[in-house]
Amino acid sequence: MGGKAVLTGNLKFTSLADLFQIIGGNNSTGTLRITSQYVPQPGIVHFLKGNPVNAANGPLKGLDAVYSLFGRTEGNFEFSEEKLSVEHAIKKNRMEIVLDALRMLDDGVIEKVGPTTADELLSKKGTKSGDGQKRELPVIKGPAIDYLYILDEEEFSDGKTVVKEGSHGKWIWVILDGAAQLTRGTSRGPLTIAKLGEGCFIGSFTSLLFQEYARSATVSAMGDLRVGLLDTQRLAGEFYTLPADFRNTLSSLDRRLKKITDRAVDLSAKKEDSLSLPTKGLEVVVDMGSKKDDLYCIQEGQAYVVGKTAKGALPLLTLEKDDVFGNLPFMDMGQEPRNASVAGTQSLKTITLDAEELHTSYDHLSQTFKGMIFNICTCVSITTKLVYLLSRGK
Amino acid sequence: MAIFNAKDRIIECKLVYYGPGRCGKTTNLEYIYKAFHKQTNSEMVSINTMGDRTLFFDFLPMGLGKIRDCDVKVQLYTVPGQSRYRSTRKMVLKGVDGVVFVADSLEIRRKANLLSLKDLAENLKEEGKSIFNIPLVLQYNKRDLEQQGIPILPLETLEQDLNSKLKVPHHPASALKGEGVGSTLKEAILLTLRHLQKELHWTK
Repeated sequence: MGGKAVLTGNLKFTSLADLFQIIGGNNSTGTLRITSQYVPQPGIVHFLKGNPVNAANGPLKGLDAVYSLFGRTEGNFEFSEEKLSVEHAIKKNRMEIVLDALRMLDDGVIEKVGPTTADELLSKKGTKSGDGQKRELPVIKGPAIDYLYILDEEEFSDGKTVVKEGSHGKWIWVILDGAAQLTRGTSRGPLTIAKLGEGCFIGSFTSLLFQEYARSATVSAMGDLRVGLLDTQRLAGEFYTLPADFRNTLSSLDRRLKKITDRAVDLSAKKEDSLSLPTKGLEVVVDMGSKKDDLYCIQEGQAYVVGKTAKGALPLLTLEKDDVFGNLPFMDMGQEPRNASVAGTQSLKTITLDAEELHTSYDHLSQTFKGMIFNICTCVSITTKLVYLLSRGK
Repeated sequence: MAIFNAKDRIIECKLVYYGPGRCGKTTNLEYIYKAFHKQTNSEMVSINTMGDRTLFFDFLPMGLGKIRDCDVKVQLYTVPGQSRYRSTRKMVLKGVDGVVFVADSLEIRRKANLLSLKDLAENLKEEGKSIFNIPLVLQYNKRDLEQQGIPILPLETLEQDLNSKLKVPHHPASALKGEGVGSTLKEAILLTLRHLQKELHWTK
């Protein structure tokens, strides 16, 4: 550490290849740090007069570490000017590294590390329409695992059930190794709604509430699965120190995931579309693509989250009293405000939440909590896309 | 878009050699690197991509003088044409200032030339550029093969195939022997710099 950051930004906007050229073009000496939700430790590259001389990424060092960092499609970077006292492990020319790394990325030698995007889902399965069951769902990757809250490890062999839909239980697990599939029972047999990979959570905030709670889906191992049992009591302790608005926002996120999942199940199992918008009396509160930062909490009445398809509006889910909608300051869940609108009935009454305060609370959360929020938002986003796909068959 | 390195007072522009596989892009660059060795200040980077090679080095054109008191440095690249090398192509074509399209004069490569040119147009479009207003020079390579009795396309056919709409300068060449390589490069650099001057409203 030590040096002051002179260049910071997001890899989505400035790629690592660009960064190498910018730092190289300026003949800068210092350290580049790359952080990502998906990796516990930052990746580090040391530059001497514009040329990379050493690097570290997890267990990798030197050139291998540099190459592996080109697989990051998501994350933040920070370059600080500082004097170096590292071994010169890399002798290769800067541009050679960049060009070679990009080739390896295209050849599939370098593993891509980033979120499972909904576009991936669409591009892979976009050609088929109709039944969601036949689709090959992508395995959702979670953020880096925080071992601080793990009490115990458990293993499940292929096909074994971790939790059963409708059963009671308040445990929360995080997947350490392997993958699990989430299924819901429907009149046409079980429907796979998601595949969860490393870093994803089984169970959610609802488990932390003092209320009756039934599992909303069945989770079973796909191949050998190793999970870490989380310290629910500690999580609950943290949960109850949060401001009420924040707690409510999290519960609302949970409900949203359940509702969008219900919607997917409905679309898959029933012939008729069960959710339709009232023809009269709706008023748009959040317009799709709107830049407004407002966050609302419903006091009275109902609101609809409405997506857009080639055929027109597609209602995604309904929101009720205590639900939160608008621009979540810390996470994108693939619905409003960027990818959906919210329209309210005439009886809708809302209050505006202090988004900044929520953001501050978020910043103070433990890694595990942040991970759970991230996980829920990714699941909402992916399931929303599944709903779009399923609706095409109607 | 050229980069202005204010610290070292250098204008860096990017010139990309494009063309079908095995057309001689690499040979062009290798020849330039050897023949104008004094004007290159970096090592040549050579990456083996499937079926082709990607080359890169910096070139300092002599005798162009300074533009606005800045030295000019040209980054020369070849780019792998295969669709799988998307990341490489994107990086190379990002901010490209000028293009040399190397066409293969071999009769059997006629279709490959056309496809590659179409590809170039599409890839440029993805970078928000149009093939019709980017500085572009065509090079009809491998003219020497005729002497060995190998059927090659007459220049008129190549012109009609590739240049009837573009109407850009063209150069016959034999990159292996170095013929036409220098003149292609010189014209491409001149066009590129002139284009930059116009685009940025520099007047001397």
